[in-house]
Amino acid sequence: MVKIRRGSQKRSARKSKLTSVNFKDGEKVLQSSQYHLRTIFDKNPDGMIVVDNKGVVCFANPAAESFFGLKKNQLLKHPFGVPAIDGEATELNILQKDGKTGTLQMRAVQIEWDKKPSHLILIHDITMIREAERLRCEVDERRKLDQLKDEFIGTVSHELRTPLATIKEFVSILLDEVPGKINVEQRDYLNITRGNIDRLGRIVTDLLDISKIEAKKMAIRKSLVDIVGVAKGSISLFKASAGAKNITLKLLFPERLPDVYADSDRVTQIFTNLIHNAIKFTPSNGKVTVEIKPGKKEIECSVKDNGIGIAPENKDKLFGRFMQIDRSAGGGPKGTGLGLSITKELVQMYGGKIWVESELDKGSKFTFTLPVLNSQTIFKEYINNGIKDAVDKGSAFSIVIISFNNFKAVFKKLGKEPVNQILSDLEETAKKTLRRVTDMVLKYKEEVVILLPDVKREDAFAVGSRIEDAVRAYFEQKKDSLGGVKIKYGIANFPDDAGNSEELIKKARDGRESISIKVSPFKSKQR
Amino acid sequence: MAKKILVIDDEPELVRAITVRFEASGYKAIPAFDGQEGIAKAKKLKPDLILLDIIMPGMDGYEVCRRLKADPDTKNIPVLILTASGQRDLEEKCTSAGGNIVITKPFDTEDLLASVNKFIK
Amino acid sequence: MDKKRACKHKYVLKLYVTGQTPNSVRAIENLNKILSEEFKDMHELKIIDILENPQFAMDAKILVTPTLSSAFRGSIKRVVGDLGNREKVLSVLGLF
Repeated sequence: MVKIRRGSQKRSARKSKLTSVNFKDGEKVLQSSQYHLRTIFDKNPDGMIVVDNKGVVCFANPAAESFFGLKKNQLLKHPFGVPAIDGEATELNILQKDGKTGTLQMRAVQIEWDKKPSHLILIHDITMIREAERLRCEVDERRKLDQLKDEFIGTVSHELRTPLATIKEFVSILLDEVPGKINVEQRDYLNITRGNIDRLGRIVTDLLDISKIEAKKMAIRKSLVDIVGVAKGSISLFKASAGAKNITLKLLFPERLPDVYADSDRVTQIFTNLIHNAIKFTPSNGKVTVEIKPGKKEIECSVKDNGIGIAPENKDKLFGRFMQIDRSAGGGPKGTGLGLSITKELVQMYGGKIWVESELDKGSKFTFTLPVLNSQTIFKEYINNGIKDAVDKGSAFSIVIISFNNFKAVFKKLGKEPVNQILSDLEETAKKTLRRVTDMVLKYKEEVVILLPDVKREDAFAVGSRIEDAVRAYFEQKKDSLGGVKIKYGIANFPDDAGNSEELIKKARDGRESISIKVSPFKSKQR
Repeated sequence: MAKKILVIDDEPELVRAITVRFEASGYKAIPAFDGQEGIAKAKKLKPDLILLDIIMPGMDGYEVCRRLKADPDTKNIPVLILTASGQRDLEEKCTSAGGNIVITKPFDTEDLLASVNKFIK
Repeated sequence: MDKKRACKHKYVLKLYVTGQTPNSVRAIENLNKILSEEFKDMHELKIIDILENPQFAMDAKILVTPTLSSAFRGSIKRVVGDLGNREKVLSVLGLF
């Protein structure tokens, strides 16, 4: 600190006056510059500490206090260490209160402090940056792995199926007597060969299916499925084979069905497997009934036949891999033994159950359930899919969540209907601002959620501000009736802000970018 | 005069099986064992139909198909795509590359011949 | 330095790191290099992962990692950073 010496009293009055004026000015300048320095020091978001040559802290700014979670009096004289870094800056880790690891960037420069050699250390928080980088890396890894898996399955498929095609065609050529006539015995053997080639072909298909399911267990595509439509589609595939045995195929379904969220191809596969078995194990003139029953939590689908049934000791093993019950009574081409196990995996993939009821010579009934998804799960599904697509394509996914800042108060004041109306209006308003086919708006409980696939963080903010303008305009119109309503919105981006759907939703709900729009009847909107 | 079918596939034995089958059905089969050879022969010999395998070393089937369809000399020749995979999006990929129909290996002879009859000019 | 005398006392070194973060790994590498080249047979090194043993870190009043604490003949020195600056590390630890 600089000391100011007062002018001596013995000086001339004029000089004294001058000196005292200088003194006052000087002090003002000094205080002003002190104030500036103090501001830089106090308000600096980066931490600044000074450590002596023993590595003990002798000076710290408020940001440093908050980084280390210590008050100034605890931080001063606290051991830190002498920086020994190669180059200008280095990274340090810090254990935060919530147990998570933070990353800091430290820069150090040698200084003299109170005439002693010391270090001035600057600390900059780069936790978020590192986190975003790590997420991006993870996403890249996932994508590469998925790609490898896909390529592998494609290659294996080709390698297995091409020789089969060659064998099959030559056998076919021989059977058609292209190079010359064949005798009965030769025909017999060639037919057997062809049958086995087909069987091998089916096994390859099943194996590939299983490996695809294994590979994609984490990334199942779901959308709203019309179960009845799917069942009808499956049944139509069997009209010919059922007709050949004069088996009646029937479909029973209710008038209204709750929504099921699944992959319609896979559900088709489930139905197809079960109907195929039913027809196979039912003798001529039998009956196969497919029934769909709605339920509160799940939809129950069953395929019932009045065929040969299953022995009790075999019932448990039925869904195992490579399980084949003696099919002597079944007729038709021999199965692969994988159909039911694949069916079971598919059903379980959707969170459903599958089981069989059967009595020998009376028939069997295979039932599987698919969970009815409530809006909460569907909402999360949409977000999960958005993230999965972003991973697959190596792009981004952003969401914007608009909600009431003071929901309880508004609800109390206005009541349920008006609040729902506001939400619907907000949904409409948001919809109008969206420009792409793939952008989506959902109403979910007391929030309006906007899904923006392939949109990077910066662009999401641009969308956010368009929505904000539209919402303000809406409230401008309604300001007489909607006084006191506070709306906030938050934006979150994958992978920059979060690595999974929970985090993404949380960040968008109470992220730092929440901006409040308050509407009162008299004042115009302000942040 | 017999119709000509160009068979492009890197598996010589499968090409031979298909050739025997086609010739027994009254067509003339022209073999090609990779994309380059296939495109060259297509331009030179102007077949009435092209049978094309997707997975080949070097230029893959999609690329061959795209080039055939982009070339005025060959763009009107129907292309039957042979693939070992039964994926649905594969079919879309094939048709968007310009393929007229997709046949999965191993195929039933009747299916192959029926498709050929349907598309051959 | 008097080698004979030095052998009687050892540097008791504790390197505090955080899991496998890049700077933790670097600090361990750098330290091992310095130790094998300058402090052969004169040191005892303990690597403490503050994720696994947060209590040790708190007791030792560790604020950040990597932090190297060195005790030699009763004198405790502390170095912070990835220890890439060898001269600095050596000078702080007292080996010239």
